Amino acid sequence: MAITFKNVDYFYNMGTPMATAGLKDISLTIPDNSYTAIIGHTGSGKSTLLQHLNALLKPSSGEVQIDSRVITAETNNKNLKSLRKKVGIVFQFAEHQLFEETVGKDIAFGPMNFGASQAEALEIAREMLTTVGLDEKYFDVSPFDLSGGQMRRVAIAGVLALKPDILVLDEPTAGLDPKSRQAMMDLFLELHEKRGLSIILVTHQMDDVADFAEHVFILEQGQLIKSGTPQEIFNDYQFMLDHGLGLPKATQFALQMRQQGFKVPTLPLKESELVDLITKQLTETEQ
Amino acid sequence: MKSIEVKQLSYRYSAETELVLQDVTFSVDAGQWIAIVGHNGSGKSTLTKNLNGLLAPTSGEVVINGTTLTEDSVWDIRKQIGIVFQNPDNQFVGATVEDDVAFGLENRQIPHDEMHRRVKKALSDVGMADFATREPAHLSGGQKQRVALAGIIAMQPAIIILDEATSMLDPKGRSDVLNIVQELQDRLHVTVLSVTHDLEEAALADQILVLDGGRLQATGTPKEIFSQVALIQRAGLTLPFVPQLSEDLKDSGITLPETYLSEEELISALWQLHLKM
Repeated sequence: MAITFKNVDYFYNMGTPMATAGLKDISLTIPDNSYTAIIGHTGSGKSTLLQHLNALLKPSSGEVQIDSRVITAETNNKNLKSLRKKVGIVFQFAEHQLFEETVGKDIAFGPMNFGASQAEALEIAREMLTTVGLDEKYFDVSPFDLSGGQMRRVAIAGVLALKPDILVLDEPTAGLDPKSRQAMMDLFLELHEKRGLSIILVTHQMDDVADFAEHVFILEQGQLIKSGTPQEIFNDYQFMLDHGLGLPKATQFALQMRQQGFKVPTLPLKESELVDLITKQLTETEQ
Repeated sequence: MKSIEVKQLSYRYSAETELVLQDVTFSVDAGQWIAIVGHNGSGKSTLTKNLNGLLAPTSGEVVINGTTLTEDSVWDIRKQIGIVFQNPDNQFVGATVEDDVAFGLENRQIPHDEMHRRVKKALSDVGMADFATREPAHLSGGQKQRVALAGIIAMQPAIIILDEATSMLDPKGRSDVLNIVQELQDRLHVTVLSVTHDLEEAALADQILVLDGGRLQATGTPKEIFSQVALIQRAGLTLPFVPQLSEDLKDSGITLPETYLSEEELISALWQLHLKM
């Protein structure tokens, strides 16, 4: 399932003197079964764009095509439900949205809302609990007795319970400790590789962009200012630095090595690539 | 002088539950930066709450600047400690940035002129002077934490505790806040205690305490701690980038003389190796 934006503008407070542009002339395609990163500063329009991905917001002008559905300013708010089942959004600090008495009921809430019977919904909930790497013993526990990282997993299980084709993640690892962070990024990769979900990741972590994304879109003040593969965008490191977006740690390290006098023919993005580069420099004799 | 002394501190939330802290002992010299690291649930937050008397030790004692923490001394001791919490949105009371910074001073009945002077100074210390009359809600996460920090600086505490204060910030916001704290430590000689699971942040400290399962597993300088890879892994943490890279280089056969913390140090060590080839 692909998503295409064609010349999308979005204005907040449309038709009032307070109208401000949230998105300006955005055109982009997020292909089926892809892993996409969206980066940009606070206030760059990332969240506004995100809410267009399942028609929580509709473009003020232009159109968003989600699978075969075309969403424009005129689109009726009815019948958008099926769309929201296909595109699951995990908002920032999703654990704040938990509310049910038990973990199981919380995860089952979505499927029941979409017409599943209680028995069916609880069955799906049980499956999703293990999918996100939580033990079955938590099923009947109150979500509020869990740690922050576990609560976030429950919230993600609740979105996965709708069996979406596309999973949108808004800074999913913010505030987690390193182990939980790693486990969560591994989970998303597995969902992408083994279950064929498209992942759309909003992040400030350039290392995550380098390690996981296939394609990157960069937003600034509501506009798409750059897009490409991680290698393409980080090769233009001056652009990234000028726009205050930073670089993966390995790339930054390699640039400093270059300044010191080392030969760095291709910029590494990942730590393993940097290790290879250094090992080569220090073991191969100069010609 | 010792700024913080923790002696055989144990804590349990209720008689039926297990100890969350077990026999924790350490001390911090005035003006030092100390980092307490551990994964979620390691006992870090419980320890912080014992330091300012939000929780009372089950056994053992806490001594702040020479005074033992008791029911009678807790109010005086709290005046000496400022805490910046994790969530920037949960610590605002004022309608404007300057009102917010003044809140603590008003509570302590600081004279009006003195209050104005301190608020102004504190905001300029954190680089937020231009935002004095703005609404806190409209600031970015990093700016909010800087305002929270200003509120604390204005109170002139001897100890600043950063309780996961940067974990919800973007990289720019994080480095802004940490730079300001570093400068304060240098200039005002405040004691800084940062509670964190981010070892890049812990690398800035003079001393690191590793907490796991409620027990103190190790104490040492960042270099000493980061050279103990197994310890870090057991504690559920990950090495900062430069020590991790050094480890991986060792694994692929490059012998480095010691553990390095900064990019500059590691690059110049590599350059030395390169020249010797």
